[in-house]
Amino acid sequence: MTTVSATLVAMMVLGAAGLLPTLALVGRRWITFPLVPLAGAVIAAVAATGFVAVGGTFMVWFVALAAVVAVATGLVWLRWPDRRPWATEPGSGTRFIPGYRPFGALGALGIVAACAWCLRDLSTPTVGFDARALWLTRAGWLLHSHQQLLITLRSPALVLGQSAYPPLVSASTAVSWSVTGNHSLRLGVVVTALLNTCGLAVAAYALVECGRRAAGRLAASAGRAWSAVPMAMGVVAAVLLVFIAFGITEPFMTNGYADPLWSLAALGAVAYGLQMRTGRSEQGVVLVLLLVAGMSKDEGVVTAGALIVLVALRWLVTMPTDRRRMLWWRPVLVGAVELAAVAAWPALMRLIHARGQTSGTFSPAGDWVSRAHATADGMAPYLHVLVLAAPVAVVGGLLLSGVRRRSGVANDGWGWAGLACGLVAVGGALVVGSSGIAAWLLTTVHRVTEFPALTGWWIVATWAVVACASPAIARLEPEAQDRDGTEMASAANEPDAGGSVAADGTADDAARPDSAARVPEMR
Amino acid sequence: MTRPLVGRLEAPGTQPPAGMPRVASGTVNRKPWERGRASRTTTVVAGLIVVVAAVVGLGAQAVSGAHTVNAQRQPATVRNATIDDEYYQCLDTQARSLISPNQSVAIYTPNLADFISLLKAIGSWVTFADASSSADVQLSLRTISGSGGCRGSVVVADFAVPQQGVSQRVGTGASMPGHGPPPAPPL
Repeated sequence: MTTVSATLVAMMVLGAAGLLPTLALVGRRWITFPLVPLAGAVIAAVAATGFVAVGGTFMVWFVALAAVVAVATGLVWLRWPDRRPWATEPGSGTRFIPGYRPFGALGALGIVAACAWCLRDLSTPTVGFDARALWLTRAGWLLHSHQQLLITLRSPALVLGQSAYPPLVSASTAVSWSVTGNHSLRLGVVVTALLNTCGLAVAAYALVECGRRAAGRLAASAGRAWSAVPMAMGVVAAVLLVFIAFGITEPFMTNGYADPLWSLAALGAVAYGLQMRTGRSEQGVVLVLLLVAGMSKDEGVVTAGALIVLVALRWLVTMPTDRRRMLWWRPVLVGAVELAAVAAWPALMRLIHARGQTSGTFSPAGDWVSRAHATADGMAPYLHVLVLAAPVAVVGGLLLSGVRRRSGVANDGWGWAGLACGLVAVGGALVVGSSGIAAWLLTTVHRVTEFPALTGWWIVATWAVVACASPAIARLEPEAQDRDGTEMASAANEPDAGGSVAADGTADDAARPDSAARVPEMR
Repeated sequence: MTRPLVGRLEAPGTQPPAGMPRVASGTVNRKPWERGRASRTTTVVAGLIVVVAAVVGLGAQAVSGAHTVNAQRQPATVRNATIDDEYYQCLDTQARSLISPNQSVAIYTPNLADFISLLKAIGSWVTFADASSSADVQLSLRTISGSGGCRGSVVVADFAVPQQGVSQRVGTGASMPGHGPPPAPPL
């Protein structure tokens, strides 16, 4: 089977495994398309964990897990018919503002076109160093017997300690090789690049969502023409973000490395988990993305762990007081389950005494200051976006926070907290780790700073979309500003109002033009 | 079915009713900058400044990103990638001429670079032995000066049990001109 046809088959198999759970978690949205293969990759990673822990064969685990998840989804839909993705709300389609759906489609089209243009790099037959030595080599190990897999993971003769890294990339490649019979490294590289691109598409589309959300909130009171501006900017910013992300992550985006995957998935988790309303659909998106980030690489494990805590914290503090008293356990439980899922592989590697997992050492505390200096110096050239993002955030925070509230985008501070999580996680490892800092930085710093750099650009792009709503908001009457500002601020931060998923799964009442008009009814 | 929208009902100085959603992005009834309330002109001007700064920054970085994407398809990059691919394919073919996938293998090389080269070439399909001493075959790389090697290296197999009276064989089936490993791809 050629690489092209094998890639199609592999993506279809991963997509088939991830289709039903993604539909159940996210609903029918544009981002469901790129999330489906990512969810399939998560199932592959869980299958790898089960295979290592229990035995059997990897593909039996993959097929069985996919079947169990599909049956569980069917049971959920049987028990709660309103959660079926095709259970549309009568008349909901006619209530969206003009341009809401076309801009959504335009954004999706723009992102796909930009990604396709950038993916031309796959015409260069590059297989990255780590991809060849580690990520794709391990895919073959997963297709061996259980006993042989344990030997290869444990044997000190194989030297590479990194072979205990989380399994998602290797497991996805193993599925691809197994179902196509094409065991080429090229297939693994292409499938990984497509998964990376899916992660990017989800994160970029969050900007389209921001624009549409802002427009939906402003259409009734500010006029349709003005409210279309943030929608247009959302599309433009999303397309630009694709090029920016490829620029930051290449050549690793298309040569089989795992760094872009965890970075882009974590970026999407910041976007949907810390900047959007915490509706059921968004929580589903965040769940998939955090699992992808946490099952891709060690840096992703730490960052995903921190983001899980942050997302749960935001969910908790933005709950209405009475609901928090009764339902505080929900974010705690969801966060705990996510943490357990992400921690399962590292814990398992320690349990089986995998190579590289039994000798965790720290550098002497006396070296930490000098290592911190070296780390900051090493990271600085890759974080120049902060020179732009920080002043934009300060100006925006001082003068446009009201616009941001009315646009339905959460406080910028949550985004910065997510960025800080990534920096602290990676920087902390560099500072307290025992490897020589100079060589470590030289070989990894450009890759491990992908997440904070991408998040910085996402923050800038979000402010661009939000600021485009300022002319529309300036046109509002003062009373309307009061009305919209307070009402929309409440709705923007309301975490768990049990909102119904609309026809396109947006779960976004505020995207309808009558949202502001309904406020007087509330008084 | 729609989600009930809850608005802030309070007049200035009054408390919101119990159960009102909290606003994480600032409060009302505070100083203007804390309320996020600025004059219309200030709002529009600040919005324009932010939009221009952000779009210029995003645009410039996107152009830079497009250049980076194009750089991956430059002839030199393609040539290096092709050489890299052919080199490991060459080693793989030589190794396959020496061993079968179910024979237990140990990689025995005097230096880490050769070890990594062999691991990259055959690591995904060979059956590694638990210990070198229990391996059916020990594989290594040997530098040669003539033709028949992969950029001057050949795969050598040392069999624990001589096969057809031979305890050591050299890989065949592929060769590649040049000398030394290919240019290392970016780490």
